[in-house]
Amino acid sequence: MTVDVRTAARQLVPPAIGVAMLLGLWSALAASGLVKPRLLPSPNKVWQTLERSIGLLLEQATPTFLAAIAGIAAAALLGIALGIAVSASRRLMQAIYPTIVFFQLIPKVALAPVFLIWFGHGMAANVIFSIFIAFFPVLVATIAGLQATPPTYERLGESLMMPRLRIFFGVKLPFALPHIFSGLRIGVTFAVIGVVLGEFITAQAGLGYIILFSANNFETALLLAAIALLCVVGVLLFGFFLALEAVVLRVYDSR
Amino acid sequence: MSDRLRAAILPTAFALGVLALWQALVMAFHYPKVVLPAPTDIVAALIDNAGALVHQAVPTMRDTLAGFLLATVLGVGLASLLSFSRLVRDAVYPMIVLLQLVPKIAWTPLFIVWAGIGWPSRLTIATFIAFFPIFISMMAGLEATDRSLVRLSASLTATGWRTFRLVRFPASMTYLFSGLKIGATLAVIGVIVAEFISSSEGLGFLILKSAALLQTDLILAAIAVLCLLGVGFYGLVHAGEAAVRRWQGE
Repeated sequence: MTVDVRTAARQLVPPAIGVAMLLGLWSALAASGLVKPRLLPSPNKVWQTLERSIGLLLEQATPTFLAAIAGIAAAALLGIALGIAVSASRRLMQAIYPTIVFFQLIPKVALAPVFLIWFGHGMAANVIFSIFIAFFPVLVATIAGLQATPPTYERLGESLMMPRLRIFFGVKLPFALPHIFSGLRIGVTFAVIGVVLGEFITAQAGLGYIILFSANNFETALLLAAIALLCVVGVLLFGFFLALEAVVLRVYDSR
Repeated sequence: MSDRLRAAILPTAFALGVLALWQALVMAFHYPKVVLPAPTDIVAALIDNAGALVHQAVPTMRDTLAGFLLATVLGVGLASLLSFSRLVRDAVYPMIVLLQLVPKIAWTPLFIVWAGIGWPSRLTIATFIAFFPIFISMMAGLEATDRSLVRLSASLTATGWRTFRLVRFPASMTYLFSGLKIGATLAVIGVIVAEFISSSEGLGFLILKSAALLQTDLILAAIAVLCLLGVGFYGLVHAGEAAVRRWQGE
């Protein structure tokens, strides 16, 4: 028991000191007058702004949060489904995979204005753009995961005359799951980025809009409060996928 | 057909097929050029605006390269420093991993407030975004060094610095380059988003301006140039990795 407390302390105390030092440095910098409060308000001021504007911020965080959830959910479905379809045939994969890799490399955010021309300036365009951005990491991870099965396991399944569907669900999918979840973890951050970027450009609602609006008005405290809330949104979604991964992997392990 | 030949022909055929289908769809249904220009329209826009595109590509590439290089120096430097002290590493590392999770692109307006609307803010954003994957992969590489090698050099009375320079640093190159590749693509994204928000130059500015004027063909031409730059940049990092591998004699 004492050992547990000590390892926990060793894991928690240094980061806590790190955060405390950062906040201290920030407060000192803001209090010293070296930096204008307009550029860097004190942590205290940011906290007060967050408390005062929490109603507004939550109201704007809702569309961002919902759009990001819709984005990652659709991107996960599409990415996993297409990954499975492409992996079904070696030729199909040889034909399509390089194009997918090319799309991984290019800066897809540059396409945001095109999506707005195509789908208008509403929340739908943000969601579709978010799906587009979050889709590729999930797809690539699914393809990589389905190739990760050791060939001997597949051959064993075949020689046991297992039907293809059972080989897929019983052998290939369990090996692919860790890869798929690592793709989902990347995808979920991308989904948030896609939504916020859409909000930057259309500037009508959402946390992205608040961030841009407060930057234009030099309301740096509100800007930092909105960024903090966005970080909470990002970490919440990320945490959800971590939890899902833990649950799914446990289910698959216990079979 | 040999397997290698097929691996080259199939993807080319697929890409050409997609382009041909795109062209055929536009021609058959007479989509307005504003909504979906045909590939030939995009090529025409590329040729007509070649001067402007090159002119705008220069600042984008300059800020991207500078930001990437700065992020590499900072990321490798900080990871190396932290590898010498366990306590400092335990204090700083979790914070950086947490920051890795949050959507950092959203911080762009903050940097514009801090550094103005000129190139310094774009450089800072590119550096900030590219820093995290480079730092984290370098850190992972330094951690993953074979323990027995480190113990061997310690028992040969090598100093901490010598062990770092001759054992741990060379051993972390594979990890570092995987981070550099992610950093290279992120640096481009950072500069583009910053140009969307505040700039009066660069490909991002050109894209947004063309969007406002509904010149979709010019947007896609600019994106084509951007893709070329992005892939070229990635190829450069890849070539750097090959050079380091060869130099290390692998």
